[in-house]
Amino acid sequence: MRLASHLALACAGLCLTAVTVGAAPRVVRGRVHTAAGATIDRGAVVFEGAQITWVGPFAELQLPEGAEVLDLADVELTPGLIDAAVPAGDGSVEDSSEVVPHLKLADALSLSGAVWQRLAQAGVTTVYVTSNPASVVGSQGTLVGTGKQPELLPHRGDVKLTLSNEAWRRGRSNGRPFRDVARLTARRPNTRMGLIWVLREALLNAQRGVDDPASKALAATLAGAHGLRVHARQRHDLETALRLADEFGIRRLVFEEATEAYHAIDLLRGHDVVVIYGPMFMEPLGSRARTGEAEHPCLRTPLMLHEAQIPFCLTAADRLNEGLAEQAMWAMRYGLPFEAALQAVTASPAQLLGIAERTGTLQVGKRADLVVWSGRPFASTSKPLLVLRDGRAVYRDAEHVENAAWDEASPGGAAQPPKKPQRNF
Amino acid sequence: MTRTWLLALALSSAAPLWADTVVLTGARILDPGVYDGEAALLIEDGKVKAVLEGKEPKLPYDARVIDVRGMTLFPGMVLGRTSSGLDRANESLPTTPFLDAFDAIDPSSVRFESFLREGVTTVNVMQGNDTAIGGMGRAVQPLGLTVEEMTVRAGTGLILSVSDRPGWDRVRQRAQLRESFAQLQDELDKAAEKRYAREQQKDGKQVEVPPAKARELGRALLRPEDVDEKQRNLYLLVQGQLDAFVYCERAQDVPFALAMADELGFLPRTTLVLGGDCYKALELIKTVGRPVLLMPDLLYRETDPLTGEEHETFVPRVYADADVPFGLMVDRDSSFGERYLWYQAARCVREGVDREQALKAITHVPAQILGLEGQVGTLQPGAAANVLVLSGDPLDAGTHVEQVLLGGEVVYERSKDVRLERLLSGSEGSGPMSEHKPHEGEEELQPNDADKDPGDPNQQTPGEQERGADEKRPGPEQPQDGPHDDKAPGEHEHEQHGGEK
Repeated sequence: MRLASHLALACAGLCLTAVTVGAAPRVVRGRVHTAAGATIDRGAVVFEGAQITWVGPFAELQLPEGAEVLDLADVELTPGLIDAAVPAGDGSVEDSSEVVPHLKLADALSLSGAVWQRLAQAGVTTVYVTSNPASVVGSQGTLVGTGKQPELLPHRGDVKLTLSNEAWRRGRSNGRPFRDVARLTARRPNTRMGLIWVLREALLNAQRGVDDPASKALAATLAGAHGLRVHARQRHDLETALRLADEFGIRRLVFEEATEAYHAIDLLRGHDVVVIYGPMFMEPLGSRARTGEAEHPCLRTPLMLHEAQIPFCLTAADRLNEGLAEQAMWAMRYGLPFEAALQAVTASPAQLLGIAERTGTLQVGKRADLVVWSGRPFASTSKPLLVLRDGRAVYRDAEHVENAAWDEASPGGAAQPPKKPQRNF
Repeated sequence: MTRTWLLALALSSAAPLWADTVVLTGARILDPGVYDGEAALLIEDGKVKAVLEGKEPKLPYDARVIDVRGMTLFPGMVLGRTSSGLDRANESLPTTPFLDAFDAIDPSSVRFESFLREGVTTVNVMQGNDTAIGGMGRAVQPLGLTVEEMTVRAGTGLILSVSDRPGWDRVRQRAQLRESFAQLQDELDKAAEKRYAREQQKDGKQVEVPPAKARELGRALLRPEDVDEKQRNLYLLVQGQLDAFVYCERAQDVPFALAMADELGFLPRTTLVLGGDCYKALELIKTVGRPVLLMPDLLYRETDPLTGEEHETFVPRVYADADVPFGLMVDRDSSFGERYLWYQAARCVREGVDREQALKAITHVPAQILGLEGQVGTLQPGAAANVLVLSGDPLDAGTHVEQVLLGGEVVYERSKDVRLERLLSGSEGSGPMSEHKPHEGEEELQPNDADKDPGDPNQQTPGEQERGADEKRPGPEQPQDGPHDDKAPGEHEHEQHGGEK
């Protein structure tokens, strides 16, 4: 059995650089919030390799022979957090056209840099990088596993329509000197009407089966090969999006940011939508402030979405320093119950991204993506002490978890299938 | 207009003359390092009189009893320094010791209202770091119709920056500081010579010594009023009669700051305001033996220039481990967390700072820095009765400020906070904490901002550009002549609950 698993590992894991021979299942003790409905007070999660093999009360666990147990005082466990809408940087904005659904962010995303490590440190194990809103019809996003060695994960990639004003305001040529001259010659629409027209024209071209890569990609999106997202903040943009969806037979819309969702609760309730809400703010800042859109906070929006039973996730978007856990904290401060906040940063985004069979909850058979919190998750005084993705530490607070062996997966259990990011050439 | 409702609230709850004694009963009283337990708080004439322990303490017969069962009483928080409440953080001139925050504080600034809502009851309003020698600060409470009414202590000190202003380098910054102090010496020489001549005249004598000698003899006779108004605060500073706040951006600035303060004689009254990697000069900072203020960006990240690896240091932890008392500050340019003092303290606890130390960093320590030790930021007998009635532990994100007492008067009640209601539910508050009702039309009527700046050429990546925009922009305003503060700097005055007036 052990030999077999080693063989499997050898096949699977060129990525496993230092395999600790003879290591056994790992057990993490603590208060377990599974995000699948149950909270286990004195619980434990057991995983072998990258896969969770047991979750339950520690008292009922028959400790596997030679198991490594992590037993820290007062810690609580949640699934690894998932941020469903981290926008790509300005560098990824294609200037040759405002309709680029055939481009893939995965082709250009830089996996170096400290940002992936910071995300892991904040307890976020999976992020969906969404197209920068500076294109009217943006490129296909991509899924990334965080940590020191981030990796692209297989995902169909969603196409994003922008109804917020970045599409005509934030384009690269618009940001340069002589932008007014550039605007005369370049592609940009410069009113919201123009924006919607470009959008509608693209959708019409797709429907008509125009033979260009963008229209084909958009047609495939309408046929369901990719998800469809809409970046919108103001209520009337949300309305416009829903109107367009009706017009073009789009069944389900995913809204990003949706600051004024609180103005449109009844409207949203009547449609098949998912809201990726956030980031929460007291005052909009930076490039967000310059949009002039929806500048006033409504701090109870997550609570309202929850009460109206509109499916929603929370996102920290580009506010990485504050982090997703902090978003959950603010949402809770303004009324959202803990369990709902937990769902909004784990199970719900997993479902939205179509990776719920892999991650998002702490259940047997899922990948061991989990966060060990120093106290109550999302509390102002808690932080992650250990963050595991696929069973290996992507962040480890050396002050509390000294054993560096956790940085590598323990061999054994279900072998890790070789991962290949999916590219549809 | 913004705060009329608050004032109305304050007026309506003003106590009748005979009820000078107030008792808050049934709550947990938490005064970091001093008291933690269930007790009643006795307030007399706007000051804390006593903490009454025991199940059923004997209350004075004439006391007005406020039942705050289940709540936590915490001293009103103290913010050691901020430029909130000023129209601009800095004058465009580098050396402006003649300016006074007094002239620019806007009592109706919405920021003061926010401070009150968040439970910050003493705020040291001071110029920003974009200066060489900045103006005089003033400690105020966030309520009052006029600055006088708000004032807790006038003349909290001058702000000096040894780190380069935007567009300058350190060489120029330091040359500017040296030049300013050299000018002061010239000014003092002239004034001393004049004063000596005048004293001689009084005795009917001629000046019979050479000018250099006359200057030397005159120095001892010099009075503050002999010094030009533009230089007077600097004179008081080097005489050791004023507090100084010295901003150091980096560790390399600390030795210069200390040498300067030492040489000019104001080191014993210096509070270092430390940013970034200043903790690397910890040994030097310890020698000052005074508490420090930490810039709000508590996390310092540096990338190893050779390996490219990123290292992170949580700054307060370093000071806490070295037993250097520190005060925390807030960043009003942050979108959420760093705006709040309680959250800054919570971050400290999260990163392993002792709880008591973290709580003191938003109460006792800044009070001490402002020369208000025992007067604000504590619930010890004799302190101003600035009391927060909290729904839970001060560092818990689920806790809200339910009531604020300033000088024993209830000046804020969450249940009557109309603007908060608007923030919470996005609706016009039809009643306190009413159910959410969408308020239509307001946002939609905003013009499509086609005319607003369509993209800034200096745009950085989102998330990195927010910091310090306020502080770093020099203002085009005219300098004002002379300090307008008629109270002797350094003199502590303590006014009571402006809300009553």
